[in-house]
This record gives sequence, C-alpha cells and structure tokens, in this order.
Amino acid sequence: MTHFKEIDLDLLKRLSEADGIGGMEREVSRIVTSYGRKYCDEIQYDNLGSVILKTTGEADGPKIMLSSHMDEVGFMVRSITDDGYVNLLPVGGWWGHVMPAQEMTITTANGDKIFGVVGSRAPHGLPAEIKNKVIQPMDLYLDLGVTSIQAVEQLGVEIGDMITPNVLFRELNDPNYLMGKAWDDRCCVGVGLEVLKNLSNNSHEANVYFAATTQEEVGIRGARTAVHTIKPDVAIALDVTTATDTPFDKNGMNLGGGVVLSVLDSLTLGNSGLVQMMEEIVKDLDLNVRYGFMTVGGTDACNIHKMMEGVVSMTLSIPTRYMHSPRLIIHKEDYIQTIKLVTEFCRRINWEKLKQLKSSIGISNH
Amino acid sequence: MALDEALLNKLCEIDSVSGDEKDLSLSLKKEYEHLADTVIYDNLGSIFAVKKSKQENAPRVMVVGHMDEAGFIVKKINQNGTIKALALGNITSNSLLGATVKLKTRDGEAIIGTLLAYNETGDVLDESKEVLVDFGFENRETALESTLTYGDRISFVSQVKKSPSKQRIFAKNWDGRYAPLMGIELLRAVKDLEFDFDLYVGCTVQEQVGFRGVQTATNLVKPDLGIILDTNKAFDYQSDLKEKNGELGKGVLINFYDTTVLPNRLLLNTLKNICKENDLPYQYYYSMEGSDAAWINKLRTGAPTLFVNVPIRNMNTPCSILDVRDYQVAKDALLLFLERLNAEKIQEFKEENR
Repeated sequence: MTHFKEIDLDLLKRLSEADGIGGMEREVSRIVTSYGRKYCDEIQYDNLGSVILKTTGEADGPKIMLSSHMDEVGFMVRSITDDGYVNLLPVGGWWGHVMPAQEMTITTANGDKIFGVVGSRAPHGLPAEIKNKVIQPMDLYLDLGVTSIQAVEQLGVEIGDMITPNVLFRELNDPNYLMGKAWDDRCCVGVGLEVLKNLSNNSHEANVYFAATTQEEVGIRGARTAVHTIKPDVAIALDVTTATDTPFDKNGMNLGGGVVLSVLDSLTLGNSGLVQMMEEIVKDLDLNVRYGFMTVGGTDACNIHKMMEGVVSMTLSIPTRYMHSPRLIIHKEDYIQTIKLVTEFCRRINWEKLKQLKSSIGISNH
Repeated sequence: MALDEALLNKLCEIDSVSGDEKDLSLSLKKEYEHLADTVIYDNLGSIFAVKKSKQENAPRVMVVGHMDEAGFIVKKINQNGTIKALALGNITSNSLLGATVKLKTRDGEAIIGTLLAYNETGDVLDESKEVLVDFGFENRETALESTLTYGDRISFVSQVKKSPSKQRIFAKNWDGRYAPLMGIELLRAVKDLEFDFDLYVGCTVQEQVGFRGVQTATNLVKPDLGIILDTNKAFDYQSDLKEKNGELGKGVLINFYDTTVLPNRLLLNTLKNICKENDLPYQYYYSMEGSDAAWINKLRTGAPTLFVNVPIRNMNTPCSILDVRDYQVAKDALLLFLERLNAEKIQEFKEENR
C-alpha cells in the first residue's frame, strides 16, 4: 500500500470555522480552491457556485465525481425590529431546542462579522405550558446588544445577510474527538481535498473530479448543476450520517468505528457493484466497516444518480453527533479511514471496473 | 395610466386554467409577432418572443412568468345534475361559496354556474380538493345532453375593475396575467433597442399545478440568465400579522428567499441599486412557497435567476388586487435592468458565488 499523507487538522479547522449557508458558500469554496489548487489540473465552476477540482488520470479512464456539499444550515436576516433585534429566517432544517442562548455571527455584504446571541427566556415563573414547549425557529431572534434599527444598519447588516453559529473548532479531551460547527458537510469537503492530495503522488487511470457543491441543505441543488458540468461515469457522494452512540440514542452507529457504506437513504439506492467494490477495498486496506440505512434525509447522491441518463452512484458517510446544531462531534479515525477508502477507490477505477459496476445492475454489451 | 388597460382587459377576459392556456397563447402570439424576430414554443405550450442580438453566439436572457390561472376541471357528473370538479392550483377555500364560475366547452361555448357547499356547514373545497358546481342542470341526463364534457376547465368569472383612485385594479387572475401583460409591455419598450444578448420574453404553462411549463421552457431556451415575473401574496393588512411582508403600493419586491430558490445576491443588489438610484420604491420580501424560478435556477448547469415581482391581495380567489404603482415601478426597474445588462455582466452574475 502506498503511503498516505498525514491528515491536515488545520484544514479541518478552517473548513469548520468558515461561514457559508446555501447560496453563500464563497468562503468555503475559496478555501477549497486555495488548498486544492496544487493537487489538481483544472478548476471549474457551475453557475450556482459549486467548485470542481479535476485531476487527470494517466489512461484517460472513466470520470469519477466525488461530491461534498459546502453549505451548512444557518439563517438569514429576515427583518430588523425598530428596537434593534434581528429576526431569523432558517435556511436548512433547525430545531428550536438547539438555538436559544447560542452565539451567532452575521456576515455582512462586505464580509464584516457581526456578533450576536439568540434570545432566550428566564425560567423564573414561566408557566409549565411555555416551559415544556419548544420555541419555533421563526420566533427566535438575534440580540446584537444595540438599541435601534439604525444602529443595526450602521453595522452594515442588511435583510438577507447570512447568520451562522459562532463556534470555534476544538479537539476534545480525547483528541480523536473533534468538535466544531458545520461538520455537515465540511468534514467531507476535507475528505475530498485530502483524497486529491493523496492522489497527487499515487497513480490513477480515472479522471477524478472533486465537486464541492452548493445548496444541499435547501434541496440538493448544487449537486444537480455540478453533475451536468462534469457528466461523470461514476459518483460517490460524501456526507455525514447521524451517530447513535449517546445517552439519547444507542443504536450502534458509533464514532470511531470506521467507514460507513450507505446502502440506501431516503431517495437513493446505492449501486450494489459499488458497495461490493468498497467492501473489497475495506478488506484489502484492513479498514473497519458499518452499513448505513438513513431512511430520513438524503445526500447529493439523491440527485446525482438520476440526472441525465443516470450515474452509477453511492454515498459514503461519516457519523456525526448533534447534526444541525451549532456544535457537532466527529472522530478522526472515521475521517482518516474514509480518506483511505476513497483514495484507493479512485486508484482502482478503470473502464474494466466500470463495466463490472454496470453489469451489477444488469447492463451488458458495454 | 401605468399600464395598457385595453390590453389588460383583453388578457384578463381570456380564461387559462392550467393545461388549457391555448386561447391566451394565441392572443399572445398575435402581439409577439409584431414585436419579435420569431415566436417559439416548447411541447407543453409555453410561448416565447425571441429578439435576436446581432452578435454571434450571444448569451440568452429569459424573461418569463406563467400564464395559467387557478381554476377547476370537470371530473364527475352527479345523478342530481351537479358537477364534481377538481381544483387545479392552490385555491383559497374561504373564497368559494357562491362564487360565479364559467365552464368552457370544447367548442368554446360558455356555461355559467356557481359553487355549492357540499355540506350543511358550508364547506366548498373538500379534502380531495374537489368542489361541487351547479350549472342549473336538474339531473344527470340533461347535463349529459349539454355540450359539457369530462376534462372541461372551469374558471372564475372576471370583470376587471378599478378603485376610485385608479391605483388599485381588481381582477380574478393577476396571478397568471401579470407576466403576460408585463411581457408585452416590455417587448414594446425594447423594440428599437439593441442588446448583445438574445432576449426571450414569454409565458409558461402549468405553474399552478407544479411548476411544469418552466422546466420544459428552460430546456428550450437554455438561458444564461433568468428573470421571473410573478405575483406574491401580500401580508399587509391582516389583523393577526406578526410582521408585514409585501405591502401594496410600497414598490417592487426584492425577493431574498423562497423555499425553492435562493437569490443570486449580485443580481438582487443590482436591482435594489437601480431602484435606489432612480427613486423607485422597493421592499424586501420572503416567500414560504416555491416558484418557477427554482427550475431556471437549477436545471442544466444552473442560471442566475432574479425575481421582478409585485404583491397582490387575495391571490387565487375570484378577485385579487394589485396596486398600479407597484406594477409601474416593476416595469421601470425591469427596463432599466435590461438596458444596463450586457454579456460581461451576465458572466459576473454567474460568478457571484465563487
């Protein structure tokens, strides 16, 4: 086995701390291009902002699309009250439970970062029916510590500006556990870049396109436009899945347990030949494997596999705790193993292999 | 008057329930022919006037909105002579009891009727989105003897009216006539202008039933930039409002969010700045519904998409209300936007989120 390069924790930190909700992924895509530039031959874009890094194969083999979405769940400035509070418009799925008293950042049109805190209620004397009810995200607001709409406007804040959690990346007490915001799906953006880095000193026949896509959380839009830009032969969506190893939820999807082969999600069935090929690589590289059946939620693969005439696709997942909250936790081991698996997959794909993947679903004479 | 009233009256009197937009499309064709180089169609019936640039391989700009209106389709003829019809589009149920409706037969004959309540409580739209219509038939046999048949469309009966101030216009189908009207007025205004992009101005079908025509239209036109002309619900007078959103008479909408499309911020700011510089009133708007814009935005490799919308009250009821000043501002802003647009800027819009 060829030597795999050490993972770059600083990259993960930068990806996690960058702010980017659907439609405003620029901070992330600029990290992707600046980091990935030296590991790719060509940079392309679609018209929604997805960025595509291509590394040419030695034998002009099949086109592989790796897809990780750059957008995180966040908010927009919906309106500003006369007394200077900022009403929130959720962009992506939020639960009121994880929002009150959280620090948030507004990113203004010229990139200034304005700090605020989501309002909450004091429990003193609150009637039980209010205490026991979750506040709806549309009813929550950001407190900037100013007293008027004019003061908010002077900060450069405008309707439609992006709001994201204000959370710093950190290694936890066991440094294998990494806490940060936006692991959904920034850790997989990291996987894509690390794979390109590894491929740059590994031989591969296929043309590998790493697409960092936009607008997944609002309806898997950037994957559509990216797949039409690439027109791949085979695609791997990289996305997080919900870990189930906390006191809330013990169901076996543990952090640190290795790669996750997603057999299906709510809108995609993985190509069975691909799942088998991944299993072979897992064995050859001595990785640990689990299987994913995420019947709620989807990934970029949902749209990739059914675009144009169809694309041979599956999803590989990294488990995370506390998805769609300001603080998520992932595990280094899952990250590293996923990078190894995807790198080796890209090395092994050639026209012959692609034929096998297609024959797994009955396509012959190709 | 900020708009061509004769044209408005003509367009509003034509019925165009989803899937039966032909009469309106024929009327649009007559207008387009004088104003454009060619008229083209997709295979669901969406229609476009094409104004070609003199440049080779010019980028394509699509200015479009839907021409279908909310209505009903005949589904069943009951023994007692009443007709069951299925609602096409998200019709506001509170507006229906006693509403006058018009059925259009295959021969183009009109039969006038009214909506009944299906129970003693007075409900009109049932859980299957069906209504009961009384056309005066006393039994099934007489209904069958008439020229009415399954699949006929039923629309609300319209007569365009104006408020005493002449600033507000009442019509049944503002959602479905705003774009056809604005499109023709736009084509008239740019008739003698030359652009370095090909301009496609037109109307799509079947928006009310799921944004269908815009998908085929987008694949036909293959736009580099899309501009949607549509109406949004006004939340500006209701007694239980938490915040106002879309006020009549407060100008063109700057749509910064809907559930199916996120704005291109450079496009949004360009429209906003045009309004600011020209003293055209504008107002921010967010919509918790989807729109045609979604498909222009995300089909193929994607296209930057802008809304030039206005608010209306009573959308999808027998009588909706538009403020003429909003229409005028939207028209002015749209014209200024197009006059300043060029191939280079279209590319900048494409690169906005990079």
